[in-house]
Amino acid sequence: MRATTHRTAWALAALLVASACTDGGGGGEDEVIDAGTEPLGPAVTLLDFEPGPIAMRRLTRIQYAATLRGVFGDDLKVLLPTEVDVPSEGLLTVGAKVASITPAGMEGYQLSARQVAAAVLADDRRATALSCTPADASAPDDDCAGLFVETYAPLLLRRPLRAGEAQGFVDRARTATETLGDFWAGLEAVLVGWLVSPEFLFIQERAVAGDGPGAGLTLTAESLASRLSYFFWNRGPDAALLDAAADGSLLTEAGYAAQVDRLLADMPQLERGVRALFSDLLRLAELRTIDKDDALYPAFTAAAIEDAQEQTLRTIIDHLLVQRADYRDLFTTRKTFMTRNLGPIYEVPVEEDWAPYEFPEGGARAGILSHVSFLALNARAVRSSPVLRGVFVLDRLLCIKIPPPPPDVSFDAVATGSNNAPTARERLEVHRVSPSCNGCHTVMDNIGLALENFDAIGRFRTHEAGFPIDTSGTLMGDDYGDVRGFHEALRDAPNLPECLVEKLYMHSVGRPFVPAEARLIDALTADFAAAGYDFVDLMRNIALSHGFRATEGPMERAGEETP
Amino acid sequence: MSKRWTRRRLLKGVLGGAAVSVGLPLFDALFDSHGEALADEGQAPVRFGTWFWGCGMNPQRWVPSKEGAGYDLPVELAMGIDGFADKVTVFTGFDTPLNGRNNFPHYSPPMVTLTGDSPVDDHHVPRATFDQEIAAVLSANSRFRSLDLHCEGRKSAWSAAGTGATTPTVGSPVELYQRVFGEGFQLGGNGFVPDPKVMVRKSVLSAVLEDSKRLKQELGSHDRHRLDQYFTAVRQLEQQLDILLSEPPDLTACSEPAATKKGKPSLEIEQVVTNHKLLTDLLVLALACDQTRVFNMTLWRLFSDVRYPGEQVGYHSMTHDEAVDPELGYQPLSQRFLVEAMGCWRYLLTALSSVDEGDGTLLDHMAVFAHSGTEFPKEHGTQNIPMLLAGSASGTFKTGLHVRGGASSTARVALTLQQAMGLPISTWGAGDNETSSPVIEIFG
Repeated sequence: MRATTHRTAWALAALLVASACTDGGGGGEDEVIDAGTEPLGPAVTLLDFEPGPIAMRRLTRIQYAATLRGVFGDDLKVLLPTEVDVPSEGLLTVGAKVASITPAGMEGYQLSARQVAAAVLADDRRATALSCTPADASAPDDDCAGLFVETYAPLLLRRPLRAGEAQGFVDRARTATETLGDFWAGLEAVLVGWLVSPEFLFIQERAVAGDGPGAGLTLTAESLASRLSYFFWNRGPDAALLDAAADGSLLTEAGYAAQVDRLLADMPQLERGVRALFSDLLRLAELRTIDKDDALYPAFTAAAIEDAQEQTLRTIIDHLLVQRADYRDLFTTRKTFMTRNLGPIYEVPVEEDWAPYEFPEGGARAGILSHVSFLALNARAVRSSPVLRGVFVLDRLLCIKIPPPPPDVSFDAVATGSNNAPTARERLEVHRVSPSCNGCHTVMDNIGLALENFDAIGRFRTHEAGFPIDTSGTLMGDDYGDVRGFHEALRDAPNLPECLVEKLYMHSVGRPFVPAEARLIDALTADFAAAGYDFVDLMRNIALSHGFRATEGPMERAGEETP
Repeated sequence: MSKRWTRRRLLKGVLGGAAVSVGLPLFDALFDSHGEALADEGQAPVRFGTWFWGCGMNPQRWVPSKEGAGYDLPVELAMGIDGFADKVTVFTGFDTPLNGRNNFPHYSPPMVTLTGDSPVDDHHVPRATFDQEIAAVLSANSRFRSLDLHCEGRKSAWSAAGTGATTPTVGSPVELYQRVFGEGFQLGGNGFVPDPKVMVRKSVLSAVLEDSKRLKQELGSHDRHRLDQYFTAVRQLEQQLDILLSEPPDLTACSEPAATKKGKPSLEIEQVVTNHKLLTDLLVLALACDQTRVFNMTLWRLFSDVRYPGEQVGYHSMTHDEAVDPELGYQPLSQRFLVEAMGCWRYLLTALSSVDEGDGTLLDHMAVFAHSGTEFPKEHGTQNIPMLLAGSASGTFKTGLHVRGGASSTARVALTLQQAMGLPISTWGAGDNETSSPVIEIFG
């Protein structure tokens, strides 16, 4: 089910109905919620609504590696698992709530686990991982194995061990050691067992009855620890957080707020969490898999691709976490960082990698949508794609869903004609021939055409095939004459901050928001505005909200047709 | 008829022309399950595969005009099956009704064909794909439930045991080689000693299964279902380790290839075709060695922009942009990709028929189902989806027919194949695709 707040719904209606872009084809799954007109007050005081369900979330591939590095050190090499992450609501972390495990995927997990276990306990690393050594490396040593179990099992299973559980793991290490005649191989076997366990592969979510009458269900302390940790740090809970869960302090207001502030104050870890969110939202990890024509784009090297991803993430981190600047200005800021690999694409001389760089005032480049990462990713192998760029901005940044073509759409108008006009704007004229195409494509194409000053890898251009490019258009009633005006219009679009609130909330709880949470989204959005669109403040408010900590209960299986 | 391949030639293909150092006696014995030789009549197990190519065809150049046996071969179809027409059945005139849902261009039709239902978005499989239903039966005792491969530079997985359980694919020949013929693979007849490391690995899995049972009581039905899928996956892995702990059958012909070439992940057509060839060569050996009985191969995705170097537009965009040449009656530039696709399909058929098995070839003991995501790609249509079925599954089907669907759902073909592979179902599909009418014309 999808829901939109009343504000988004209004914008969607104004934008889409005016252009005859409506879901005419039996989708019927959008639910427009009227959040009411009562004053909301601060989001963290909003308690009288029932938040959504809980479900296990399969670790995304990025979370898998980040979790292991969190436990064993950032220099650990991790063979990524093979399971496919599929997004929901534009986020892999939300798709994770339906993601399951396949036989072929399990093979991949086992392979990764064996590789990680071998690396962690390799000759050159075992002293870092474990402070004891066995008396005889070819025989069991229960004490040393016990220390290994007590140190790592809670971090990997993300919970304290139950009575007798540690002994069970020690016994397994003993058996494996005896079979293989190697103490370290025995530990490896136990470690592999944890890494292929569903308690490691899925972020577990459980609920308990809250305190007081009518308090409803809240997440267990362990579930809350994981939710917080993955939201802020993109990794499993550390020992201090697990301790706060175990001793009950995490379930007190003061104890919870103290942990929230502790996690937010650790800048390197917080940076990991924020990077993970924006990598997911902007699909940056996919950059490595895109293919551009080498002959046409020799500057688009593997090194440039890596740098393009890093450039955008650095810009985001600097803007949101270091400068604590207005989120909306991320789409107009001229500040970024440059490298020698990127220089030829941006056509600027670069002497030092990652030196701060400012795009020229009044130019076409401003904000992260003028970065190579976004522009190259949302393009074809050999040319730009206004449709891909337009859909991306609408869906991921403005939370406006464009319906797919209706079942009865006629493609007759495009069946035989040629479409080799020189510029994208003229080529997309074909969408105007049919009313069933025109409505939606006007909306998508309009945005994408504003970015036509950038080619398939994000190089600036004023002409396509010798013809001048027209980048004028309208965004949500705001007319602009060129791409610079488009950046400003996007920055001022009311949906922009609200959409971030929606995405960040869904990312934090690992599911779409439910209708009853529309008021929470509104309240969070109002707080976000009041705080000058400060991203860290928004993260804190989400973590402190009732919606983050409470639940209606476990998700029930509703049939496979509603992912 | 093309020049018939010998196994020796096939292996040379795998090795990229390098000398093959092991002897290759005749390949005439196969095994039902590992270690159990079938009767010496050369009876081979039935295997199943799917093969997908994106962006359809040109109906007037692909659809035969004559129905039934001895159908004519229009030029595009001929590129794919010339020399094999007697072993291939062509399905035309089958549609993919969307059950009133929107048309996710290119994505909806193959989802209907594979799941019998129409998707609600463009990235979630609505239900289990039928190849996985078949794999659960055919590959029940195999090392691999299925081998799932993609040939272009981007992953294109969609074979799924259900929503959220999409099987990851392998696109690198080296990775496929390592997975099938790497660690743990042993030839029979060389003396067998079980590897204690594999024994430990198996006991680890058994312990994890035991530990995890407790979780089930704590979960809602959504998560319990996913935990069940997890258990199924772990048990399959246990079975895989069991097979590696058993003495392999003494199939001298089942040689392991010494190496393969590293394919380059790319959208460049030449690289994609090369990758398809390398993957096919390994796949055929994996089937011949009975490592799996089901495969799924995607030549290129449903709206692939596979491309020729230096050209401004890739395949999918080209099919939309290029005019139909009024004299030729088709799009000459786009056409080049279809020629390559049909060539790749023919390469697969050639490779499968190059392996002798008992009274026939590997192809004779298979059912390989090829399909695309649309008919004429310029239109994003959902009707007249092109489908081919190669091999008779050891005489289960009549081959060499052209069957018209009369605008019925492609789900009928999927139902037919599942029944033929032994699934006890009489009805399949959802909504307008629900069907109890198999394509009876193809049964002998």
